[in-house]
Amino acid sequence: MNNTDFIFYLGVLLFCCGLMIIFTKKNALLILMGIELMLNAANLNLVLFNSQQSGAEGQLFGLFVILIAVCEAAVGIAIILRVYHYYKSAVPDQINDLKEHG
Amino acid sequence: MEQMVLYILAGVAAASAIAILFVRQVFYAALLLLACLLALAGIYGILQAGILAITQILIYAGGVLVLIVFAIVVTNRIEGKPLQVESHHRLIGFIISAILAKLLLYGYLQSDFINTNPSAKEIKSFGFALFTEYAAPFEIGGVLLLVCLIGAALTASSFKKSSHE
Repeated sequence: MNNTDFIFYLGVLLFCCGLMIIFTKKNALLILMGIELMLNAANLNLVLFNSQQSGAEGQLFGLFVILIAVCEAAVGIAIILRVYHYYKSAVPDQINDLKEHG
Repeated sequence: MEQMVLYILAGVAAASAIAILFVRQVFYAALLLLACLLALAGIYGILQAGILAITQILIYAGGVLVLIVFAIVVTNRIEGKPLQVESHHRLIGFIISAILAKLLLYGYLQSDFINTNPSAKEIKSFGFALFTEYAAPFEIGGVLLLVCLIGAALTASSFKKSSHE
């Protein structure tokens, strides 16, 4: 197994771990962590395939991915704090005001 | 030597990512995520993306993780005990993740990437590309960061005075 395959498999593992965290965990902060993990797995692929080409476009895309991830994390945590103040809970399942009762 | 470091870093990243699935306390999950992100920074370094490795350490380890830990501390306040997290839909989550992994591996093994010219990367070419060809996305990214900063600060702060006007 050469290095490219190995790092690609690592990226697949990280991405699927992030997806499973999003599916299974009940806390909004852990869902945010899962999203970060998925973004990093995608970033790993960009860097991996860029390392085999001339030029630096993959690294630039990686930089912009990190930039968007930071914005998303900041706004997401602000929204979680706001929701926590309002509902006294950070569990998305308990925030069901819009759900039809009965 | 480089091979050994790569395997160790990949092992750390994979183990800490899987361990997030099984820990009960949110704070431990944040620390495991930090370990995973630092190991990924090392792998970026091995893949000749030193600037991304530094950015990863500065922004993720120094910024995002501090934010997450701060959010854990703040949302922890009422219960008074360490913030626990429960899992649900384990089987469905595992099945969907496994299907996605199979799909990704299938797509990867079907394609043949051409390995052209694996030359040494210089930070100089990265910087030139960032400030000439990709200057517009760079500037827009700066504006986006500013907007996010203001928006996050306004969203998180309790603006009772202005909300009643």
